[in-house]
Amino acid sequence: MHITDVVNRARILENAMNRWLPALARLIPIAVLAAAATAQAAYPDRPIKLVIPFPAGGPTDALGRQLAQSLSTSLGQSIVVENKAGGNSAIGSDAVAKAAPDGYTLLFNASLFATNPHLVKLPYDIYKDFTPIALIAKAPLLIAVNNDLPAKNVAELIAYAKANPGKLNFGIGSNGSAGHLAQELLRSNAGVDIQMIPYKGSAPAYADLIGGRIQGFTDPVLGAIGQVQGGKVRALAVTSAKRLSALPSVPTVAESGMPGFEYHSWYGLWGPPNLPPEILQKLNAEVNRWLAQPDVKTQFEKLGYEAQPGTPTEFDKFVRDNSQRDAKIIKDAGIKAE
Amino acid sequence: MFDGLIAFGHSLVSFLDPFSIGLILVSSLVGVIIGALPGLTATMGVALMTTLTIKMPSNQALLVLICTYVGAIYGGSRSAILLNIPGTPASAASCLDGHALAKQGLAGRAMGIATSGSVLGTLIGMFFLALFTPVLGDLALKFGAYEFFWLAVFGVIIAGTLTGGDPLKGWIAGLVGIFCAAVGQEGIYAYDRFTFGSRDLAGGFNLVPALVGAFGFAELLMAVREKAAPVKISPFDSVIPKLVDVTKYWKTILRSGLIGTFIGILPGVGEDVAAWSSYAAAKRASKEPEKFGKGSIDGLMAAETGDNACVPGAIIPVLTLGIPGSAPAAVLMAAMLIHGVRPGPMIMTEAPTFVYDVVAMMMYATLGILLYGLTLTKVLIKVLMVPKPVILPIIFVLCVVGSFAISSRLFDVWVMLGFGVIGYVLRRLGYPIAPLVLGIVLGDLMEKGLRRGLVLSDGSLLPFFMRPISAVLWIAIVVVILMKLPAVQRLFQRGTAARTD
Repeated sequence: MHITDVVNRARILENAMNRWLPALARLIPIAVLAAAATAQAAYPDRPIKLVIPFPAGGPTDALGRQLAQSLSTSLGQSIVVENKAGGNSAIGSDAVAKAAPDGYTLLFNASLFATNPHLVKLPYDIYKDFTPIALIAKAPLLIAVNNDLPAKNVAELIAYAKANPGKLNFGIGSNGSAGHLAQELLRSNAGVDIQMIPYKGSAPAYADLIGGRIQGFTDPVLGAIGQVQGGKVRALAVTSAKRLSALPSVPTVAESGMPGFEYHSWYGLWGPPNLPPEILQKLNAEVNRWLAQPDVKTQFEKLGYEAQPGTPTEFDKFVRDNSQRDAKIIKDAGIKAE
Repeated sequence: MFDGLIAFGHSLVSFLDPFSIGLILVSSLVGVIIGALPGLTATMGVALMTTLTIKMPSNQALLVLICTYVGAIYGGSRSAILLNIPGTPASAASCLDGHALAKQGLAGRAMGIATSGSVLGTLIGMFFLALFTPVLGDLALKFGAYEFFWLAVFGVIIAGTLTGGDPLKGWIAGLVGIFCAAVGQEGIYAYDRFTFGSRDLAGGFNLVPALVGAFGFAELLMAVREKAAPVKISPFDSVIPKLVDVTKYWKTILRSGLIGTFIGILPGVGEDVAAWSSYAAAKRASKEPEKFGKGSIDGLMAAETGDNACVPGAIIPVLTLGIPGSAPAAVLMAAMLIHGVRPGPMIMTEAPTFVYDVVAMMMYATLGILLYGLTLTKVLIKVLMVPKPVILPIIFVLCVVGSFAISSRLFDVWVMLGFGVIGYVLRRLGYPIAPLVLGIVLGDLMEKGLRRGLVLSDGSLLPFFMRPISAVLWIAIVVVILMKLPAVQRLFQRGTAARTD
């Protein structure tokens, strides 16, 4: 190739660049602005993925799907529920932690989210790798005992446990579950010896509780209320601060001689880290609007949930407080972590 | 009694408006399709439909859910028979004889048997649901950790003698299955086992990918190796269920129906175990046990009756105790709670007609699967006539998608491929695949039963041997093993020989 050819070609290229580059340079900001504008005005403009880190069909899944249903109506976009189960909910949570912070991948998880760091090794940091969006509901727990147990209230239970050390077996739905930690809290507060029997899920635990193979079991009110009202098991106390409207005759643990005792299971919504503030606010507002609907309130009451509307900042603080308290319970009880 | 019948009649009539009938037709079909697609299980189907029916009146919503549930358990047999892929874990046992029949050109007959088995199984379970709900509910309470441990051991031991000729090979496969169930975080304190630091392995092997691999993908590898021509439909094939099959195998149907209902009542074991148990019992009782796994009508009938009888069975403890008897029944119970029905010991006082409503829903679900059993079959048989180069890639795609769909993890696809290769190698070496699969299903139950039992008894093994139901189970296990030992068999032969002398 002759040198002039090269020069000519370079000139042609230069000319083209001269013509195109400024045009491109002018176009880019417009494109960015347009994209930003549509992102602001039209979020969401495509389906949103809601990750539920539990298998389809559990209590967390049921509530998460109700949230998805309501959000898809109010946001005008379909919400695709993805059950990414496994690893104590860590696998699904990790997927959201590593997703793009565009508001199209969200996480619905239970209180296990905040307990997990003290139980298992996680591939993420529960504060740095997530944006807390909204606390949705608290689920108070109910301490139920076998009908043949002489104890009629928490004080008698503690007296019985002291008189018969090593005799009491209490079921736990799964290691590190809210019911487990509530029982550990009760055990360490009272300073008594109760053996914890691990189950997977509450169905077999109830079978053993009614059958008399274990003496006590602590579970969200939703699961326990049928057996209590049918007289199959005896309710000793609820773990909420106030008595529940569904079970007005059952006292709280706090009023049974342990003032200040309160423990809940709870559910919340998270996004990937650094979620844009306008998307965060929008999602938080929609969740709060859903929780304020009268029929949602009555349904929650029926299911034993307490709706918890609030801001993302409040939710963040709630998670931190709960996680710290769980850490202390787990450490005091010597629950084995990895 | 008559009050009950009148209430049942009322419930039946209450679903006779056009909208409800439309719901029955649509949701049974959705159930059958969900069941037939590998990777979509009955549990997922019922959970999906729960969300879709949240705004409906409670009775219609529950009607949809029950039709989906029954339809899905039945629909799983379709892919099991035609492709050797269990559509849901409940149909794994149907693969053995169902697909063997299809290979002999009798796919229509096989589907007919599945239809009559499923319909009659549901009816048997329904009968117990309607009449003995209060009595049977308490049965679930008799089974504790000790009994579940033996039940699981019993299942694996029986499975070892199920298919292959050599029980030793069966038991080895069963132990491999139990080992596979031990991989990952153990179910009690979440300690990692055999994970080699891999987060994916910590989640363990999911049942569905393992099943799809061991049956479906292994079958595909076999098909690639063989040079068989596409199946020719036998002239004796017919899609209409035969009355003769029902009258000839009435004992199998009744036995499997009872076993299925009973397994359904027990919490923690569901449709898959019901199918295997009925299958095992049928083989032990059969006059032609050697036919099992090679296209035995008896075996297919047992598996299909057992898993569908499990559905009403699993609902019995939901209604009486508020304790679900299987995974889909747990979702159904959650849906009942959402719709303001509180199943449990109070149901008979709070909503006395509800039990009859459920029975009526079950009745319509049965009619639904019967309808689709009679109409959809003929089209489906054409699947078998598709030439290999076309159908094998489709099966492969189904295997991959089905494994992925269950929890959207790519790792599950690798598990499917891995189990497919293992399944292929085991088949080539003459090891049966069923005990391996049952080992995976029951390994978890066995381990938890043992560990929980030991904690409850403060480390004492005595309750495992001394409690009445436990004793029956472990003695049965010992007898089964002893009977398979050549030395013992010789002893018996000598005994009979001496007598004839």
